[in-house]
Amino acid sequence: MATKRLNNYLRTHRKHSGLSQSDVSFVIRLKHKSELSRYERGIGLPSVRTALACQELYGESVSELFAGLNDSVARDTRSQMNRLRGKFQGRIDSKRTERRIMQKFLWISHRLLEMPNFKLVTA
Amino acid sequence: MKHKSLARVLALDLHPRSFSYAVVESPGRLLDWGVRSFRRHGSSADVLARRRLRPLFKLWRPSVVVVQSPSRMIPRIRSRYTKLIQQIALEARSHRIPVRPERKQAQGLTKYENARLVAEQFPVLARNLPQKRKLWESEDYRMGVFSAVSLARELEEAYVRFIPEQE
Repeated sequence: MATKRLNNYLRTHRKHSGLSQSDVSFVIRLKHKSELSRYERGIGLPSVRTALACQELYGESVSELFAGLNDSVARDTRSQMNRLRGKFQGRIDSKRTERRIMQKFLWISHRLLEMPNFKLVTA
Repeated sequence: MKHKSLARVLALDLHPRSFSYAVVESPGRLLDWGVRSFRRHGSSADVLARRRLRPLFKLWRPSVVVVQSPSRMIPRIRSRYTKLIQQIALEARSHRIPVRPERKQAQGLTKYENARLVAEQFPVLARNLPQKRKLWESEDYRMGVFSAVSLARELEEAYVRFIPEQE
């Protein structure tokens, strides 16, 4: 059975630091500790400012703090990029293709090829 | 996206009115630990399963739950533990999580020595390590956390050994 990474590891980092929810919510300027509790339980997502404040507090990158979320967003974005590439590919005609579309197609193909462990799907 | 094989183990150290828990993710990363009481009116097994365990299952989504096997306990205690374990298994099944009763490996260590080993392995727990108890003192409630961590660690190591690398 494959186990995915958790959406966030905020609680783990807080427990390792020994800080209480009140302490952390004071540092990252939340109105109430219940807000932090919700984020730790994965109910709702923090603002970019709060996420960056957590990064600063725990000394861990946002992508590691929100590891599972990062994974799912990355997976989704890559599949969308691949779909967009497929769209461009469908519009490519060697003689009449606009330079702009060709440029977009090449950029997105290069970007996908740069990604580790990504298999390019041709339309 | 390539990840090393990942296993998250939730270990429970059951006591008559409370339980200690530890969540360990491979490779040897301690995620959470604590003690929870299920001293409430009504059936303690129900309170344990519904009010105390369910949030843990939802929060940590473990790949396996491990509890101490009651096989070596005296019959009077064993029957009570078996009922608790059945409730845990029932709750875990609804989350599709397997439950494994583990017989603790006899390493010839006392509970305190084992706790000290765990505290060395996870320095974050060192502040929770109680002093060695005197004969006339009762056991500190935090000792269960160390038992749970060592239980989780043992199973996590064994579990990862048998899972091939995933893509």
